[in-house]
Amino acid sequence: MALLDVKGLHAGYGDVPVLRGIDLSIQAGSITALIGANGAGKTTLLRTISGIIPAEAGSIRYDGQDILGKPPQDIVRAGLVQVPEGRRLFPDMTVFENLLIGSSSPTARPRRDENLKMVFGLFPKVRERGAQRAGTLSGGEQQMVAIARALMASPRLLLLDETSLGLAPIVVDEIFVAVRRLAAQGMTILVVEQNTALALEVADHGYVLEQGHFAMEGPASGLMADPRVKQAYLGI
Amino acid sequence: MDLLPLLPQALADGLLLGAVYAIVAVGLTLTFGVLRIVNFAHGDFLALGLYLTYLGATWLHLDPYLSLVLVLPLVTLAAAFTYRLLIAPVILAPEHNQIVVTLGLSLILQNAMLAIFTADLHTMPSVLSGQIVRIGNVFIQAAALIASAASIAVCLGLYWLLRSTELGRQIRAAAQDRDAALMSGVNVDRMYLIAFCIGIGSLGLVAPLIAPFNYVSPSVGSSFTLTAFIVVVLGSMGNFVGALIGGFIIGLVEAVGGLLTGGSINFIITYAIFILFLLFRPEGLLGGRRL
Ligand SMILES: Nc1ncnc2c1ncn2[C@@H]1O[C@H](COP(=O)(O)OP(=O)(O)OP(=O)(O)O)[C@@H](O)[C@H]1O
Ligand SMILES: [Mg+2]
Repeated sequence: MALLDVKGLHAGYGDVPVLRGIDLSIQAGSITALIGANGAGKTTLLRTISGIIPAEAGSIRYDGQDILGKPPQDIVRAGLVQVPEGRRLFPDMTVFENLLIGSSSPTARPRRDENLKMVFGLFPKVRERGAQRAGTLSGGEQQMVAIARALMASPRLLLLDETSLGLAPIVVDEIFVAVRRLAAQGMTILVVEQNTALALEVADHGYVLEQGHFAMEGPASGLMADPRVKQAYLGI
Repeated sequence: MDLLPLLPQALADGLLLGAVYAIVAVGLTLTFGVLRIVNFAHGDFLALGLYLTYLGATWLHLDPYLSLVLVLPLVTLAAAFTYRLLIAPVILAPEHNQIVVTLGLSLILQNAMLAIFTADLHTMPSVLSGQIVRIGNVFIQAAALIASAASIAVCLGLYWLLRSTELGRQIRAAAQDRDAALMSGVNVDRMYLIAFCIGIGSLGLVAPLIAPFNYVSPSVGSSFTLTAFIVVVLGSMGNFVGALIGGFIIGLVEAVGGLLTGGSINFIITYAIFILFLLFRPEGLLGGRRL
């Protein structure tokens, strides 16, 4: 069954259309990759799904419910949580405070201690940095905190926007080991990446976004072998 | 004339005044720091509070201190309506649109008060009016002492709320990064409403407390808005501690300046110092650190 079902979605900024008819289906328990060039509209799609920007047309169904037009906090509460592009930590708060903010929603609040334990197990560095101001962390540490903050909301569907951007390969590996572990525990994950090889390697299924709609879609291994993907996104 | 013997009195006056400026400025900096809205009508809500205190005195024969129980909730309610009807719709609009809204609100409030209460000055005496506390050669009005102490207490209370409670943390999150707060499940709209109500509601608390030693006229809000802006810019826009310190600085500058110049060109001195300060430290006292 599809946990997330997007149909005919149109969205943009003011008069500028960015998404022009998006159809996306994410199976529960899978990792889905969303790839596309700079400015293709990947972030716009995630922001629309999270309810940050309004859609002009189409529908978004999550867990059988229509979530289009719902306020963002209700979407988080339902378990659809995003790790934003650029990490977007609260810079003047400590790492620990950032995590607590992650469990702001009423459903996540009672599971705070349990979730803290879980994220500290996943990213021991986050615990070490607990008392430090988030703005002073390295890029990799910030990304771990951003993911940990999202996990504090007890997500069922986790959206990861450009997680690997600007990070050293060794840190990227560390983070994606954690992503795989989450998936293995049954979490559904959407990875948005400019690093196409990485995204298609971890994912079961993939979508290629071009000019506001999906140009290609299929099993990740199939996309990886596709000559067009190879030429345009993998540089082979 | 030897002014030195008068200095302790001026310093005491300055500190008392400064505490009231501090709470007015803290309210303004809270709305700016959290909502990123420059509220030019801020002081007019203080005027509203003063008029409500005046009505309490004339209609219900309430001492200003007793009218507190009415004025505080009414001003807070006015803030809530203002947020819903005027502020929320322009919260994401360009800055100049927001300025038109809050400037317009200020004009509307002032003219409404002018139409209802005329331009006459009104006083609101209390049982404590005229009571003087003497410390050495310094004479302090009991009412001013109460107003200042309450202002400081409220400032500290708000600081604690922002720093140490779940609600305060969520308000700070909304202030620091709106989208990230939304994505973390924070009800940002509610945090804006609460911050706006606290920022203006504190004026509803201050108004009855300063009423016994102040007058009210429709334009009294403007001078408070102006002073609050100076304090807030001085202490760095959106900076809580900066507004607190800035309030005391401006209070002291006014009181000591008044001593030196006989009070006639008091405001000019304040502005001159303010402008000089901005030339050398445009980012304000404490720089850009947020709530
Ligand atoms: N706030 C905004 N206002 C106006 N246009 C925007 C805004 N944000 C993005 N855009 C435009 O929308 C288009 C899609 O941007 P988006 O950020 O969704 O792309 P992306 O696929 O995430 O790109 P990247 O790989 O760089 O993150 C771009 O042309 C961009 O310039
Ligand atoms: Mg993007």
